[in-house]
Amino acid sequence: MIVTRKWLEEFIDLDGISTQEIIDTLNRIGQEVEGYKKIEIPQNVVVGEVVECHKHPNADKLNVCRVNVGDEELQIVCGAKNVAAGQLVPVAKMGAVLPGDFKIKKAKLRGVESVGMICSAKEIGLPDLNDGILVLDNSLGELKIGEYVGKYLNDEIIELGITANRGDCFSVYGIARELSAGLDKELKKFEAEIEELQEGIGRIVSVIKNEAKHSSHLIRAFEGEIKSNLKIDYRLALVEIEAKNDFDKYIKYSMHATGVLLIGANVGECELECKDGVDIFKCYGKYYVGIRNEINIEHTGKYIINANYIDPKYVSEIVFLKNLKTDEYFFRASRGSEPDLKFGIEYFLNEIKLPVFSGDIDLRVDCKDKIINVNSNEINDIIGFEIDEKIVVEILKKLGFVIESISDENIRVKVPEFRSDIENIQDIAEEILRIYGIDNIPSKPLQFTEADRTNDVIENIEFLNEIKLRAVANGFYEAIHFIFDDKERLEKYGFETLDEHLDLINPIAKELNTLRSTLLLQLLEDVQRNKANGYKRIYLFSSGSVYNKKREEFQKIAFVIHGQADYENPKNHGKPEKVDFKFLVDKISQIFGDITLEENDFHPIAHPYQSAKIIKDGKKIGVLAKLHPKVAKDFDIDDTYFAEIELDVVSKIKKLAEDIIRFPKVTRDLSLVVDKNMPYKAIFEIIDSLGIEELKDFYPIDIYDLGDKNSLTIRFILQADKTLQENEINDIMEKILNALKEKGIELR
Amino acid sequence: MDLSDIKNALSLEELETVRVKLLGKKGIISQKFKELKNLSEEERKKVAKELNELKEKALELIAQKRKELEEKLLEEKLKSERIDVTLFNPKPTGAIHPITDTMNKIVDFFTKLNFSVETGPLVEDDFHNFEALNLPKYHPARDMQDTFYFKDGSLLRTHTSPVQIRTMMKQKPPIRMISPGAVFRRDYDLTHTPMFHQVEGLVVDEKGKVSFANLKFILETFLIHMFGDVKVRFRPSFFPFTEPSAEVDISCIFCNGVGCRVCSHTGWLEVLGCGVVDPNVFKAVGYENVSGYAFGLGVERFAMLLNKINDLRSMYEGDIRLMEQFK
Repeated sequence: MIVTRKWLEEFIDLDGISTQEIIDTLNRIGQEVEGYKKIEIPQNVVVGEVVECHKHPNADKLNVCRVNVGDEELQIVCGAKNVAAGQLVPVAKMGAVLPGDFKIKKAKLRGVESVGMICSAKEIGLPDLNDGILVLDNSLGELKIGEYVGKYLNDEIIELGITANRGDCFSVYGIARELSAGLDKELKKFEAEIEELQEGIGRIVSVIKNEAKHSSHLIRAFEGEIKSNLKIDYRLALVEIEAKNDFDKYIKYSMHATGVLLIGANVGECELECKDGVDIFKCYGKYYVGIRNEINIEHTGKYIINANYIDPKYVSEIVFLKNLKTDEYFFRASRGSEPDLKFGIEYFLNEIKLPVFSGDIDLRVDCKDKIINVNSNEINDIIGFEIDEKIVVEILKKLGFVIESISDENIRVKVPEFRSDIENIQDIAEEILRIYGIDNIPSKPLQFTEADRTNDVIENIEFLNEIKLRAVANGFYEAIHFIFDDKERLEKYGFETLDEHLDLINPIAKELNTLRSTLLLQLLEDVQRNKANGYKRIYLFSSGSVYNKKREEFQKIAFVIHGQADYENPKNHGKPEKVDFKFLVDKISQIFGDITLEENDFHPIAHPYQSAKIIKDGKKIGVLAKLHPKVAKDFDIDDTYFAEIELDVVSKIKKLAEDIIRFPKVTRDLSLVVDKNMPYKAIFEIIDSLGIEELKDFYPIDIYDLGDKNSLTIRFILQADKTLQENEINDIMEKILNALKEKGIELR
Repeated sequence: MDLSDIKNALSLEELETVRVKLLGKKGIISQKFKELKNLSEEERKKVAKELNELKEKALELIAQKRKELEEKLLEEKLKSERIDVTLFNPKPTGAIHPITDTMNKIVDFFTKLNFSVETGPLVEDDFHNFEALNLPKYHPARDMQDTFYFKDGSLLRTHTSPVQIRTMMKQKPPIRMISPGAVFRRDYDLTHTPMFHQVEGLVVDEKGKVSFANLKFILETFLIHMFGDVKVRFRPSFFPFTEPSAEVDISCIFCNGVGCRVCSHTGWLEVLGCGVVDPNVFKAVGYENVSGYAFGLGVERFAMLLNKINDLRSMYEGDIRLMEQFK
């Protein structure tokens, strides 16, 4: 919503009030100022009268004009097609500096001297109003030759963000009314100057049927040739409103000024009906009241103007229920247009300045009064500060509320018709608060009862944060992604996708057309992008919601590593090793603690022979794998490994301490000849199943190729509640070796 | 007897040679001792005393020299092990995302003031996201939020307020909670992403207990905690679920309120929305005789201001160029 200072001044006297003060006031009372611009025409641009205008002797497209600028007559060469003798025009005299640092100097054009310039709207810093030079008229004040043009055209533009509840502020008058309350200044009385004809409206307009049920109408008629003027064109341009023709310009102008819904039509027979709950005004076309206007006007010289109003809640509901097509009328009507129809229609007639047929057709219905009982204690409780009842009454009066009665702490008020948003005491409290000024309310700490308000949610957040911090300490950057993904891409790589009947109706883009079931594809994309940006060591993680085909929500965290395992430095001679499977395993175990790996069955984007299940506390919590080379090729990222972990499954069990054994540990190694197809896990299980108490730990420390078999060295850590003797140690190792022999595993 | 050889020894080996020469079995001093027997009693006593003194002296000098040479040797060894430490300036990696970091700071503030933290599903229904929040289907304020819908009528929550509805329906007042999390609006341009993060807060207690003045206090305290020494301004505004409502600005942290590009030359930055809970919201969850306040903020906005990030969208691209600045 844009207003201009001069337009506001039609409704309220702003003498002596700076525009900054106006802006501050509007912000203070809840009309957010989103933009401000000053329109200031350069100095030395004056009103000139084109006295003579001839073709240039040496140039077809130029004219040589004699222009009276008051104290002198200037010869000016002008290239505009629309220049003509008798016009009043803006003339930039010598010394004027136009926008773009364009200095006006004496010049010779094709041999003819030119002193000054006749300007277009754009050249003097206005919106582009027309082709050619700007022709001035008296609509913005009686023009005086030689006068600085800024006197008529300078203005200030204030752009406001009107909240959805304040339909009454979608007009210059509405904003003036707010300012009147905010500045404590009376509005000017509006008085229309209308030339009335002898002939009555009944002679040329008839309403043959009136069955409108939900709307009020006030109709007048006028005749003559409708011609726009500079004020209308200029102000509509400043407030960025476009119109179809001159009649439309006056309608839009008057709607913007008053907030009253206005439509025009040709005179003749009209009809009002209510069909399927929608009021329709018919007159050579249809106007769905407060919804959309489809009336086309022919230029016959006699017209009607219809000011109308419909209850905003009703019209919003009917449009929603019937899913109706709407236009700008609905925008105004649904937010609450100005109900003072007489004001709207008279403002229009006052601007158009054409003879009006006497009388009107009044189809207004009375609005039911809205009465609210205001208890000032309740107001004070809501605000948290004691505001004197007298002040409350004063504020309400300023805002147009009518005080019906005051008794004890109760004030009975009638809500003004234009405030369709006010319904209860809290609405009233808001009015009091904004006019009294939030700044004048001291802030006050709340007294409350302390309680244990910790819960699973905060524990989960803290747990996730701990994991994130460990990931960061391990060199990972956190990435955050939208929960959307590309369904086609998910399908291509074999990930789960939402069932069709549960998917999004209105995605914002194809790449974001469904909910993701994995975090991995987005991370791979990041790796690709960072690689393209020249990064060689890329470790990323992200966490968040993913969805299965039934659209159930799960929390996951995923990690990817790509490229170098270290940064380039003198120690590695600038050639760090590449990341590998073990590198990621170590990182993940640093982050999640005690994990074990098992061979994984299948994962859609994993290398089939370098893919593991991650087991923690006996449960599968996720996968860890090398990226399948085919996928790596698609993303142009070789040497990439990933892990994806289901956070909902990771347990937060607190570990309990065992007594520390104070006797020394003994280490023994066994080198075995093992079958190439035998996973280490099988050997692990053979030894583990022996249940040897003194065997505290054992793990592989070397593996190498013997041709058809592998050599595997395992290190055993033995410890007991006493110092183990050599023979005891030998017995244990013998036992292990025998068990392995039984399965065909021999000592090397 | 000349002991200067000891002093002149250049290495431990040379020193050893000198020692043997002087004190070895066949050394000069040992020889002299052997020759004692050829002397008269009186002479022998005198010479023996001199020899003992000489021997003592020699031993002392050798020990001293050895220590000196050993230290020199160690020093040389250490010197040979010298590395240029400045070659090893590390290149650390790893950083928490500024959105997470900011969210944590916000959550920490409120949990320290005894707020509980509540979460809820991202896929919501019309009742929890709109209806219960005083936003009936035809309400013009629904235009304010373009919503993602699913074919079965569900939607992606447009704010974290449904969590407040769920919490109120599950618990009895007093309520003192915040709800952090992702929210969704159908908007994607330089300054909007279809997903972003919010933290909303809600306090409910007996009727007449919770007021706008209380809201003002907690938000002023919070904003000064987050942004330091800033001015806080409340502007009356409108939200369907609160009444009275306000938007909250801080004085621009980049120009101290003078006016700059970031604050669109207004000197103020809008950072919060808030208000006293609308009675219709309490009605929807079946609360009676209560009062409350609510507030909400965009985490991205805070993160961008606190970290001076200019490009909103860069935060969603796992861009190391941005992230490595926070390591």
